[in-house]
Amino acid sequence: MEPGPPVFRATAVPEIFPTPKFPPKVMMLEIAGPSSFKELEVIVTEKRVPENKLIVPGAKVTSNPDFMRGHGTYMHDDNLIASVGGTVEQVNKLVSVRPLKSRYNGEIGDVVIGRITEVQQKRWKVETNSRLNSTLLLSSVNLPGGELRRKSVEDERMMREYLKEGDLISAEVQKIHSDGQLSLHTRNLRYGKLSQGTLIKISPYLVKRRKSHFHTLPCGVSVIFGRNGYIWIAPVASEEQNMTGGYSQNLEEVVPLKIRSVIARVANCVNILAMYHIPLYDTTVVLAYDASLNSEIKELLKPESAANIATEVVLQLEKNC
Amino acid sequence: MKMEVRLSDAEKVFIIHGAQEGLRADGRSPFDYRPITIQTGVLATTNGSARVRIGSTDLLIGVKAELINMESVAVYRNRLNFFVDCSANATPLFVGRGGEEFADELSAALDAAYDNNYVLPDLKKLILSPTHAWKLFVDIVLLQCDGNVIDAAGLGVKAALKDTEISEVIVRPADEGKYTIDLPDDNTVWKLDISRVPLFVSVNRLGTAKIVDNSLAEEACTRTSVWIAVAPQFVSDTGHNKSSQSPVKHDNCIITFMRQCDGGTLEIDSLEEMINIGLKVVGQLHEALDRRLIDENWMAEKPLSTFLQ
Repeated sequence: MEPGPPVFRATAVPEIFPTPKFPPKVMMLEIAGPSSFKELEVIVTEKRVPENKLIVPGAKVTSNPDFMRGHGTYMHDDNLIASVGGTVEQVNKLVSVRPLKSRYNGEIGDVVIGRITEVQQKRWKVETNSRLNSTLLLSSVNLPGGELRRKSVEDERMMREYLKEGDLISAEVQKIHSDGQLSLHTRNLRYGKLSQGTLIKISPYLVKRRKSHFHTLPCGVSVIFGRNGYIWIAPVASEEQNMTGGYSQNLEEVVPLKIRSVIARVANCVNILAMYHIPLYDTTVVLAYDASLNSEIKELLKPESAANIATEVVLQLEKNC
Repeated sequence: MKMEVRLSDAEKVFIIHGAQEGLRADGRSPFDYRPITIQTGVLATTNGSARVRIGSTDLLIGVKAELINMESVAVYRNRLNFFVDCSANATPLFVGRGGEEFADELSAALDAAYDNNYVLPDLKKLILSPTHAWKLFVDIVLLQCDGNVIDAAGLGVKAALKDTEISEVIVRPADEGKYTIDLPDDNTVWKLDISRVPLFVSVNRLGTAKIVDNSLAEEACTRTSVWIAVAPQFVSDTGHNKSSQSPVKHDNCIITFMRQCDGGTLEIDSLEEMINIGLKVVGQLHEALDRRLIDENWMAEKPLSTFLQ
C-alpha cells in the first residue's frame, strides 16, 4: 500500500495547489487510430496518363537518333535513357521527362513568393523552394512611394528598412543564370512585400502556369498562387498598401474575425487539395471552399472531412469539363 | 527555440492577433488539438511500442526490458530510462549533434515526471532478486517536427507502456547466496499498470493569449511556455469515500512536473491561469487516450502492421 502521494519536486507547488482538481470538461478531444481515408474513390478516367508514357530512371526512352535530349534524360551509347521517374513529353523533336515532384526550376516570367534569408551589400537572398537561393537586386525593387530614381549609397544602407530577414515578398522571375539561380524583380506595384496573412507550402507541380496568379476570391480574400508552390492567403489589401508596394505596413491593424475565419478555411482547403494532388487554381479553391461550408473550420483538419471535400471537388471538375 | 521557422513581423502579428481573438491560422480555438493519431504495437522487436502523430508531428516510441545484474538493490535506481533521438529525418538542423540539446531537454522532462513511486506502482515488480532486475528503456525517435513535441511524447510513452509486455521469470536460489533466472515454458507475460502514468501539456503565451498544441509557426511567436505533467489520482487511492463513489472517477490529479521553457517572464496570475488551463486540457487528454487504448484493445487482433505502412 502506498504511504501517500509522493513528495513534489518543486516545493512551491503544494502551497499554491495543495490538491489540484481537473476542472469540469469544456471541449471534446478525440484520439484516433490510423486512418484508411487516404485513397480517393473517384477515378478520373479521361485524364489518366497513358501507361506507355510513364517511365522510371534507367528505362530507355527511345533509340531514334533524330530526337534531341531534354530535361530528365541522358544519352548512353545510342539510347536516350530517363534519369528521373515521371512522364515522357515530346515537343517536335525534343524529348524530355517531367518528374512528378521536384524543386521549383524556374521560368522567366513566373510569379513566385519567397522569404528573405540574407541581406547582402546590394542584394537580398530569397528562399523560393528552388535548388539555390534566388537573388533580388537593389536595382530590381521599387522604392517606397514609387519614386523613380537611381539607387544610391543611402539606399544600400537602408536595405534592411525595406526588406529584412524573414520578410515575405511576391516577385517575378527576371533571369535564370547558367547555374540555375534565379534573379527576381519587383518592379510592378503588384509585387512587393507581403503583409498579414497565411503562407501555405505545397509541391510546385500542383500550381499550373496561368494568365494571372493574383486572385480575389468571391469569399472576400486575396490569394497569390506562387509557381514555386507557395500560396499566400491574405485580406484584400488597402489602397495605401497597393500604392507603396507593400512597404507601408500597419502592424497594429487587427484583421476582422470574419475575414480571419475565411482565411483559415481557405488555408485548410488549399492543404486538402494539395494532400489529394488536385491542381491548384482559383476554380478549384473556390469549389473546395464552397464544399467546406458545411463543416466547421477545424473539422477540415480531419481525414474524413478532407476526403469528402476532395471527392466533391473532383466530381465538380469532372462535370465542368 | 529548438526548431526556428522564420516568420516576418506581419505574419507573427497575424498569428498573435488570431490567438488573442480565439481563431488560429488553421481555424482552431486556443484549447483545440490538431487531429491526434495513436497506434500501438508498431515495432515487433520491442516489448512495447507506439506511434503518435499530432498534426504533422510524428514520434515513434519503443520500450525494451533488459535483465540486468546489479550489485545491491539498495543503491539501484528503479526508474524508467528515457532516451530521445531527434532524427535528422525531422529537419536537417538535427544532423549530427544538432538535435542533442532539444533531446536532452525532452528526456530530462520525462525523467523528472516519472521520478517518483506513484506513477508506476509496478516498478517494484521489476526487482526480481537481490541481484537481478528488469531495466526498462524508453526510446523516442522524433520523425517529424511540427511543434508540440512534449505533448506527443507524453501520449506516446503512456501508449507504449500500455503495450509493454514483460516475461514472467522463475527465480531460483543458487550457491553462496546468489540467484539464477529461468524462463518458464509457457512464456507468460505481465503488463504494467498505467492508470497513474502522467501526461504532458504545454501551455504557451502568445501576446495576451494562452494556447495549447502549438504548431511550428505558433512556436515562433510564443513568448514563453509552461510544461506540466499531470497524473490522475483516483478516489480509491486516497482511502476516502470508497463506498459512496465509483473508484474510476477522476476528480483529483497530481502534478508531477512543471517547468517554464524559453525566455520571457510570467506574472503569478498568468502562471495560475496557465496551470488551470493545463489541468483542464490534460484531463481531456487522459480521457481521450484511455478511450483510444480501450478501443484498440477491443479490436480484433490484426496482423502486425509496422509504422512503415
